[in-house]
Amino acid sequence: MLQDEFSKLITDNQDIVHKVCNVYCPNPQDRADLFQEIVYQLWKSSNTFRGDAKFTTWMYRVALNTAITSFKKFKKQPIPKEINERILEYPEQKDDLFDERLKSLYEAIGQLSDIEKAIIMLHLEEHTYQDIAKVMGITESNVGVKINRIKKKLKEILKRKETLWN
Amino acid sequence: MELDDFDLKDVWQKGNHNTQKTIHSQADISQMLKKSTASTLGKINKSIFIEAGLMLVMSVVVGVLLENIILGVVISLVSAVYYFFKYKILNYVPNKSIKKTVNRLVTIFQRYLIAYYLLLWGCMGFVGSTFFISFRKYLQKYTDQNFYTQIALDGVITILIVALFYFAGKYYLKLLYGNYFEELQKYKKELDNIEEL
Repeated sequence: MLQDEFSKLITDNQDIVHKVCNVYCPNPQDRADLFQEIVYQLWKSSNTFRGDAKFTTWMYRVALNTAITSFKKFKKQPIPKEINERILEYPEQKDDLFDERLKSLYEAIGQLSDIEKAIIMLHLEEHTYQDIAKVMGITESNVGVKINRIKKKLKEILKRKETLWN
Repeated sequence: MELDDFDLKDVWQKGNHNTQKTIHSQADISQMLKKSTASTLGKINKSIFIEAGLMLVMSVVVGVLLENIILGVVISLVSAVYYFFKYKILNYVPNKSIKKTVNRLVTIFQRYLIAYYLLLWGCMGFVGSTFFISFRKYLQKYTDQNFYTQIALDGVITILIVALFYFAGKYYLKLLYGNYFEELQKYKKELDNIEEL
């Protein structure tokens, strides 16, 4: 794949990279670094995209792999549990309740393990169990079980802010 | 509580349109690629090659100084293996499934650690024995130690050298990778546990 062609594809689908960065890096500077690293890894892996999977699924696979296994993040300061306020921005309309819900959802996801974050993220992005199984490298039947457990965990965390979800 | 699947997905999907992000143009992305190639990984790889070159020179110097070619060859071979795995860890392209990537990285890291400790023990043996011989000569020359005192002193020196190398080795590893290996092992265990559900 040519670099121009590739950068156009990434530009069009950059939302995927942003989502992964938002979930794995609460700190804006780390997010920018991770964004760059993911783009670079995508480029290095571009010759492995054979078209047997959707381009977006392939992008998720490389992006999540990079976010989880990048050695750079382990050399950084511990990640704060509180989600950075600046991750949320509402340029068009301001909805305080929605803002709080989204913030609490990000906070709850932030408390999951890196592997659980990847699974729930793919699930929330409407990927099929088959796709999730392929990205994660686990069996399809276990994907369902794991998702249910993660959702249960998320609900437990979110229960502390029950008023937001009523 | 209406915290069902729909609510979570709904909030997630609507919310992602509004989260803060810098929209990059195609020119930005292209620039990012050029910059990445030239800077981050380029610098890391450059430092690996410089270190490997220095180790090669050092092994030749050690071999010549000690008039021991085999030792020089062994040090250069072990350091070549060490730098090979270091290069592989830092240049690994994570394009397989997450489980495969984690398993592969754990394996590479385990091999890297073996080479690292072999190299560390080799250095410890070389530096330790040189120091040990000089120190003994000094003691014999200027003090009148009896046999048991000498044995005790030798023991203390050995323990000090081993402890120094052990902690220095651990510290350097932590400095290079933080708790990277522990985290990779944790991920591996977690992914294996999912399969046992």
